[in-house]
Amino acid sequence: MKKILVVDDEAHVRRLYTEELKDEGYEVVAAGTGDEALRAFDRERPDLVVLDIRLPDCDGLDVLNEMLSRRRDAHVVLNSAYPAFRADFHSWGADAYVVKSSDLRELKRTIGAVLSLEGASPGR
Amino acid sequence: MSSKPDRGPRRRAYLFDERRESLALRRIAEIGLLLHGATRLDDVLRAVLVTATARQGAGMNRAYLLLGDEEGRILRGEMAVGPSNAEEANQIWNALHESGPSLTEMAEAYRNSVGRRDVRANELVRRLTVPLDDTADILVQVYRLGTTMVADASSPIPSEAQRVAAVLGVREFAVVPVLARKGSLGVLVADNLITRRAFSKRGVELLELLACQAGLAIENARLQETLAQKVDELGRAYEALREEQEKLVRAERLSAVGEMAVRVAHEVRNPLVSIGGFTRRLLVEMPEKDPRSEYLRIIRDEVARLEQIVGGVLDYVRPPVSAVGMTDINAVVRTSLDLLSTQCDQAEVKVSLCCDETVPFIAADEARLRQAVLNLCRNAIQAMPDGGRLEVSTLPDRDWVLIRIEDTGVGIASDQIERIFAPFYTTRSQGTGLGLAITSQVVEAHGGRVEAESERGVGSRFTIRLPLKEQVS
Ligand SMILES: Nc1ncnc2c1ncn2[C@@H]1O[C@H](COP(=O)(O)OP(=O)(O)O)[C@@H](O)[C@H]1O
Ligand SMILES: [Mg+2]
Repeated sequence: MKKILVVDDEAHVRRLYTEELKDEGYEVVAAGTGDEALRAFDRERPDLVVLDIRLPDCDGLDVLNEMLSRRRDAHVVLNSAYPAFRADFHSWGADAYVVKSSDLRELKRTIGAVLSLEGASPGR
Repeated sequence: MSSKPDRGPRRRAYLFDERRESLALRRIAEIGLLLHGATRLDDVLRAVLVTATARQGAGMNRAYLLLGDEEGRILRGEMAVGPSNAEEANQIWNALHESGPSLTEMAEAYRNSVGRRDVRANELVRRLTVPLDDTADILVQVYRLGTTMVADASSPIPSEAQRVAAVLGVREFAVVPVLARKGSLGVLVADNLITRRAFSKRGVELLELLACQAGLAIENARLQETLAQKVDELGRAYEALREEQEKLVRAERLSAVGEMAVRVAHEVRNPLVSIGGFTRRLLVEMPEKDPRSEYLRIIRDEVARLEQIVGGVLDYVRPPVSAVGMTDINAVVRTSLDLLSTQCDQAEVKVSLCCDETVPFIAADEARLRQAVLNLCRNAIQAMPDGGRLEVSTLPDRDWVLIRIEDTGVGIASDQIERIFAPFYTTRSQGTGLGLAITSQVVEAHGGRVEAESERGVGSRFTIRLPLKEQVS
């Protein structure tokens, strides 16, 4: 089973994502701050991270950089309210960028695509 | 005046002279009054010349006015008054004699009787024009020394007077300086071609007085001109200041209200995700026929609508992750269009890109610049709901790089084009009015500006103008 780390500062959003992704057949862990996120990243060794760019204690981009420096092959899907970031995620080293929405279909599709590119299909 | 008949003719002539002189003085006083009115300089100068030639004035036959130019290089013939032969002279003098005593009436009578007949005198005055370094010429000498000179028939014509005598066709003439506070402005020349009368001392003195009035009039007019210029400059400076201020106010409003809008949008976004997301989960679990699923669908759809509005605001901003580096403008344009390719296809907008490969890299914040270009392209696409052509090009223009975005869309009404850059100005129901405001803010931060041209029903052209050498603030 693929493991996903959800990083978002809002508890309700974390809960929604966790439930929805579990329904998709993933194992899900969640973190609310940059610090928590990095500890979970080391401890849980997730296959993919869903990362909000705005975090209360630091810039989500710093977290992204830190993760990539710890594991070059880490998969990260950026998820934020800012559509303008869509143009930048590549240069930041993330795999994909999805604008935050209450409709999670695009996020799920993207996660599936990133993970299947890696050669494994999402568990179900 | 005396009515006693036993006074000799000599005495009478004297009286006549005296009367004429007092009339002339009145004319001069009137010219002085004209100076204080809103009379045009030309009219005052003509009045001076008419007075010089009127029998009720100084009684000269012809009068010429020459003025020094601003650079002090040349004494130029400006204006002349006078008949070209005895017949014409009589007509004019009779007309003047019958006119009322006031200067205005006299000048009027002069204009009526002369029409365009003093062309000859005006031609002569142009020929009197002389360079100011020709110090051997009598006109230049009077101009430089500021003293009157009279060439009279009793002595042979002195060498310095020969040129003027030849031009005017007379042996006798007077030259008086036109003086102002700061020195000579020009000279007044008079001759007696028709009557061949000798100049009296009094006549020349009257001429001097007239020249003095002319000097005042000219100085006055020049002062007024300078004043008008200064007022004009001041007006322009004020206009520039107001524009700067408006820009500031615009930027201020954008950063205050705009930042507020963005913060609110960001704060609202996450709760909307939860509300809509959990509603969707409930909907999945609810049996299809349950009437409550209708309520849930309403919540889901309303949330989706709100998310769209909020997304619209956030679409235009990028949290300040600023990084200035040497930027390839052509690459910025290309990625912008890549990002919009699906939108273009959906709207049936044909895109043509024309990059000038000689456009140099410039110091810029690539992401913010791309945002500016994106905003303009997005507007262009939105202006073509039934399809059209989007032309994007880059081109060098001396110290600038231009990015041009042209569409064949609905265009902008000319009375609206000033307003489109104002924050929150929008004509679209889904619009935020932030796109152009943010675009111009970004471009101005790079030391550039955005120009808009448009024709209703034909299309619009927006140009981002970026300086080659400018530090980004
Ligand atoms: N290319 C264009 N063609 C026609 N109208 C335009 C164009 N660009 C901007 N406008 C006008 O300027 C307004 C403001 O644009 P903008 O600041 O981007 O806000 P918004 O797109 O949210 O309305 C638009 O609503 C539209 O009326
Ligand atoms: Mg817009």
